[in-house]
Amino acid sequence: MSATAPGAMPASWRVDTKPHKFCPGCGHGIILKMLGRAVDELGIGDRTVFGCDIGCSLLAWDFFNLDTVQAHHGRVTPVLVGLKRAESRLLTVAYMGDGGGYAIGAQHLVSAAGRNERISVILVNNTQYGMTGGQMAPTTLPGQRTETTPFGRDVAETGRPMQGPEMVASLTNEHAYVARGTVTKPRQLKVMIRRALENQMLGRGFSFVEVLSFCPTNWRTSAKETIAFVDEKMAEVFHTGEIKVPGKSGVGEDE
Amino acid sequence: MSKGMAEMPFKGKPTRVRKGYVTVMPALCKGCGLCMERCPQSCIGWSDVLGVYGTPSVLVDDSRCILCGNCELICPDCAIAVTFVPRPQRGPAPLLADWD
Repeated sequence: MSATAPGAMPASWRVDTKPHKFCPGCGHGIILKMLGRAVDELGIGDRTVFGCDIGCSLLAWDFFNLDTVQAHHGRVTPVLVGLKRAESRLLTVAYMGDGGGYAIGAQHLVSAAGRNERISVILVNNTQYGMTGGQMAPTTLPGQRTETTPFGRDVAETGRPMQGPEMVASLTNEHAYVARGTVTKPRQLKVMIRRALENQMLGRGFSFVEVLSFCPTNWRTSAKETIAFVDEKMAEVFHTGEIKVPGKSGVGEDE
Repeated sequence: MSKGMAEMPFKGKPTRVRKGYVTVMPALCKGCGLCMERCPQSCIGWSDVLGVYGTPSVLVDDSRCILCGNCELICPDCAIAVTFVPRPQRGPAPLLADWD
């Protein structure tokens, strides 16, 4: 912990923009705190570029003392791929939501993973589109009520929730790091983000971390129900753990 | 380092508990209540001091806090900081070989 940053804030956080713009109880704050701590621990703040997508994730545009770029919706992956190819010394972190990664930006995520681009992607999964008011997303759980599925998501009509890390793991080669974390286990999440950054620092390949996150505003849940939703309902569909680790064979889940 | 860092803009009042202290910064607290749910001792309650969005900020019961740090870890706004103050170290015990 830095002596200059107040309280528990990572040193890479930009203090004059705090309190940040996310809703009360939003999971973005926890994920960005763990990203900040991982950057601090690795000491890479001077050469990390943080790229944010459209959606709630763009509210992080002034979050860090890092170089930041904000791209069109779903296009943060190719923007950072270009940056990384032009200047391979930089470490690039693409930060996006499930809409940016699995809906409009799925083509770019798939292409970057297939080409094994040396970037790190952090994708925040909160089961719906948060910024526009809680509409159904590719990751909405079966039977979950959202603004556009008032009677619950009908699996026969709209399909099953998208399993992003499993898709990325099947596309990438053995040098990729693919994991799914959750904001209810922040220490494990920090290790995953750190490994994703280290995989890029070693120049091995594509690193992808999906994070199960809170959205109490659009779920309309209390703090207790919010944690229970992630730990019980989301955990049934999305299994957390490291799915692909370079140098290790086989697919493993946590614990 | 930005200018804000040196100024320490979010002043909090440290609550002294056994073996350390807990600092709540109402200027950062949005009153989401996640820390209360994660507290194993259920020692966090609502305060009379309002947070940044005009919602109540939190208050730590100094008699029951065990400084586990779960609240600090889950807080999305870094509005709560847990500081563990270790006891002063005594010198090392003499080795048996020194007694000869």
